[in-house]
Amino acid sequence: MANGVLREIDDLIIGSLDRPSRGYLITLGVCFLMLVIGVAAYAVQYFLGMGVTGLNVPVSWGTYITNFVWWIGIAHSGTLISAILFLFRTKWRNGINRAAEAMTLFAIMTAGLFPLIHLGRVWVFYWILPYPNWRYLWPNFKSPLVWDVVAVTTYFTVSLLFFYLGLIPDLGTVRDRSEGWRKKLYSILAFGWTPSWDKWRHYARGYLALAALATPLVISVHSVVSWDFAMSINPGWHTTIFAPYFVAGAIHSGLAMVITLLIPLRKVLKLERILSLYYFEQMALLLILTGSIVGYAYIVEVFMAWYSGDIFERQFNVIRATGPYGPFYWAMVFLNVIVPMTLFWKKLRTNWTWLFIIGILINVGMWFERFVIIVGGLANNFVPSSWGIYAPRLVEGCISLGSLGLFLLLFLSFVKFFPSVPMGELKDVALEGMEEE
Amino acid sequence: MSIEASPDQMESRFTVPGGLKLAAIVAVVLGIVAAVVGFFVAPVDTWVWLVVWFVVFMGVSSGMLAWSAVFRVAQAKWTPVVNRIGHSVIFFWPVCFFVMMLLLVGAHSWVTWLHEPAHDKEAWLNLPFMVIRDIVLLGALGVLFALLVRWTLVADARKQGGEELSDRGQWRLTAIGTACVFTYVVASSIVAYDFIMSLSPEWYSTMFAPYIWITNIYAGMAGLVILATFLRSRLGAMRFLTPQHFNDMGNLMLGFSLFSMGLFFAQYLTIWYGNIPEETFFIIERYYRGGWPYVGWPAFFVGYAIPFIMLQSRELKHSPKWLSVTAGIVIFGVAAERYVLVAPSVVGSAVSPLSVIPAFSVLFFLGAFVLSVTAFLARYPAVSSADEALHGRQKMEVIS
Amino acid sequence: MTAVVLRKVVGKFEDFDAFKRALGSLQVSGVPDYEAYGPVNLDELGPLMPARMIPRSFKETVVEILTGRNVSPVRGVATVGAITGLCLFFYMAVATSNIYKLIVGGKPPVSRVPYVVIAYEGTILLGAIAAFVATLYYARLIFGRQAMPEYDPRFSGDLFGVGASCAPEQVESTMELLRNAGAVEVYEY
Repeated sequence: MANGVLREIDDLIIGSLDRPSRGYLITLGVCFLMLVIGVAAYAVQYFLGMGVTGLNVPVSWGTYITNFVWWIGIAHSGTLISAILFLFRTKWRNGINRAAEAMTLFAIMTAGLFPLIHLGRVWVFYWILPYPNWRYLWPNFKSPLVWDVVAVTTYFTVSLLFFYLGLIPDLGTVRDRSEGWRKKLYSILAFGWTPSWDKWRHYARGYLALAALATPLVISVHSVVSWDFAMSINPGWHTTIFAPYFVAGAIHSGLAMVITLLIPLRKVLKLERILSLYYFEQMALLLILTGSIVGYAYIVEVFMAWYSGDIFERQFNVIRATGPYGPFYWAMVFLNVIVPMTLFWKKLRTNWTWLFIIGILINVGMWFERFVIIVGGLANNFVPSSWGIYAPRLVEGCISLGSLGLFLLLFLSFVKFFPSVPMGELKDVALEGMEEE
Repeated sequence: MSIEASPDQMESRFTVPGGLKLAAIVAVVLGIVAAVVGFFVAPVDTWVWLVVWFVVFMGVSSGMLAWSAVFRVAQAKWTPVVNRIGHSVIFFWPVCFFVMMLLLVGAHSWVTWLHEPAHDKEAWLNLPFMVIRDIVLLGALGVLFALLVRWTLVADARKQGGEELSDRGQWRLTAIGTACVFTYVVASSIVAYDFIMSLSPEWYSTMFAPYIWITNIYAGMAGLVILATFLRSRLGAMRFLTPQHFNDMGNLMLGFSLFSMGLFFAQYLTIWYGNIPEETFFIIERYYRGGWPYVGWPAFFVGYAIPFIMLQSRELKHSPKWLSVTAGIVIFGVAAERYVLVAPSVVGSAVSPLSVIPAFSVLFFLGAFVLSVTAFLARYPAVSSADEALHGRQKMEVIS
Repeated sequence: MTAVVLRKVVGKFEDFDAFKRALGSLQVSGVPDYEAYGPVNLDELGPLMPARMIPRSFKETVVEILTGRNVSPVRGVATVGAITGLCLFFYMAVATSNIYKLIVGGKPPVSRVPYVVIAYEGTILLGAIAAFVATLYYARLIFGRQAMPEYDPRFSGDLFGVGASCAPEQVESTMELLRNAGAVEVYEY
């Protein structure tokens, strides 16, 4: 009976909004502690100056920019799952898109902090924003850094709108099922939603339009991020494949992060019956695809460097594989390309533990990739006399830890206040399944 | 409006209309004549055109087969007929292979780096290695595609005989499909390097190979649309080729047109911004200075931008006729772009006016394509039952 | 002629198919207006709803958007927003570089190629904002509430509902119709 399944979906998901368990609170506390450490470290950097970091000449972009690119990458899978798979009418997206979108939002917020943290004079950051001003001084729109500002703010805005639009019907459901202050809160948040056909039809169009806009956006955002590097003429940075290569890498790490987050979450929120292995298997299959694309890009880069006959390109690639950052390079190849290939085996991709481990491994690998590209590209320039080396210092480590704390804190708070699994869309799937039978 | 086919209609096979066969044979002959005449009046241009048509037809046909493999790997349930149309191109594959051998035999006439050896690149740009890698990779790709088609046909026959397809059997098809996709990427990259990029041996771009094989997939979808429209009523499998199916194919084309433009722009922007002479000359020659921009930019707009705007319309995507018109525009634009990519490297700006004649060698390819594809479809059932059998497998349980 | 006071009949359904059946028969029953409620995306029910129809051709779309009738205009608004964004952001990049026309490094102040990036992001930004606001506006969220006395909180949970406004003489037959279609509960509001 249709009815029973629909009610069960509501019960399970709204049930997950109940009083938090102790484990949840402890995790929340740990995340908060991490955040505090990060904030304290930033205070040190703010008052003492950038000298407390490991940044130097020539390596003036280090951990912060790596983190920025990495977090933006994490953000990508949310839009992939919610928009691209929506356009492809993939059913399995419906179970996990909400969590992935929330992850997108919080990852962009976290990412957005890093360019600011990286600024020496953070109090004048607004100089890069385009606003009418006194002497008609506008940002230089030729600069990739300005594109970045435009792209990332656009990405954040559109993700927020898309996420919230998706949330509205579910907020209506939660409102109808709750009482007291919660009812008041959700009444405001639901914008007066009632699930009538007249509202649904506009809603469906709007959602489709946003999905259709978010898809090209997600591809452009990481392309723009990659152009921060590709627009220079540094060997290792100036290469035309960077845009799709970064996008694929972003989706790779984002999917891995979804897997990493959702596996513990389904236990914590007692959603095991909804977030079944099926979703994770599908994501694992996508990981094979993105891993292969990333692997293809690695090979093409090396091949082209060799084929070009350009001594700088060739030298750069040799140094990258054998120099001080060599271990990171090989770790990235191993973790991003070789490890995901194990998912070809059904036994492994249906194994919870292995999926969880692989999610973490890929994220570590993707962080190494960003690090190798950014730091490696700066450390070994054209002229050996200008070569340098960079290692992150304690402050950078603490701030990175703090960013992870911030992200998890936001995400964990989200899952207790909002339905972390889209109810309306799951009901759609449930009804369709019944019609097919 | 969906049109249901009765089971006996589904069994009906395509019979090649006599007129079409005749026209195709005439086209083949005319194409050969055009090429032969071309060799006398403008030999270099003739080679250029042969390379261009090889790259175009090889690209479209491998793109179509790649779609069959991709749909297989993605376990798509809506494409049993589209997959079969993709399979049908396998009969055209030997023609491509033959033309490639011809091109390799005549390499001295069009491979520029054989006359002015590129410094530092002899390890890759030498004729024996090029011949070996092209034959091996394209041969391997052909064999894998043939295996995919053959195994699917065998599974179909079993299914038709009333046997259930085992999970193992389905897995085998998916596995060969995966192998096809991987090999497609590698082989297409090598074709892009050997037949297009290395003709300007100084130039290199990491984006180039992906750009070529992704646009090939785009053009391959356009090819599928055209064939599907043409065969729609003749195959008697209308329920798998409803306006909704065309809409989906149109959306895939829409996505790929935008994606291709993105890749084009990414390459263009990076080179524009870097402003390194060894990279920019390739773009300047084609999109900036001299006569070639008059072909280059229109090709870009016809191949990508205009279809992107046209495909915004839902009505157009629901109409097989108009969608295949768009698809024709796409293939024409992509072909023109390939010409712009190849020709300036070989002949510079000195295009002989007589090169119009060998351009008609396209008729050979077209005729051979039509003959081989129709021969395949006349021989095998239109619905790939093995792909249809994916229905009902792997159900998503909302609550377990 | 005095205005006829329309009366409201509400039917509740547990079964999605029964619900669709009810809508189908309401459409031919001569009831002036009715509304459908349900916890899943009901967009596909368009053909079963009173004549605020889905457009069938390009011309009809244009006509219906211009006359403000029952096509959802959200997509159109989004397109307008997107095109505005494209022009506006490109203009912003060009105009701001032209404020100080200094030739730097032998290059003209306006460079079109990189401005494509800005224009592209602007297209999506304004397109998305337009789509979002249009959705809120046309679905009457925030921007004004409708009175929906027949609304049952379970319509957002596990029930499907039909609220038909009918003339007094149609009430009985409509209630009968809903019951026949398989409603679990029918009453006059």
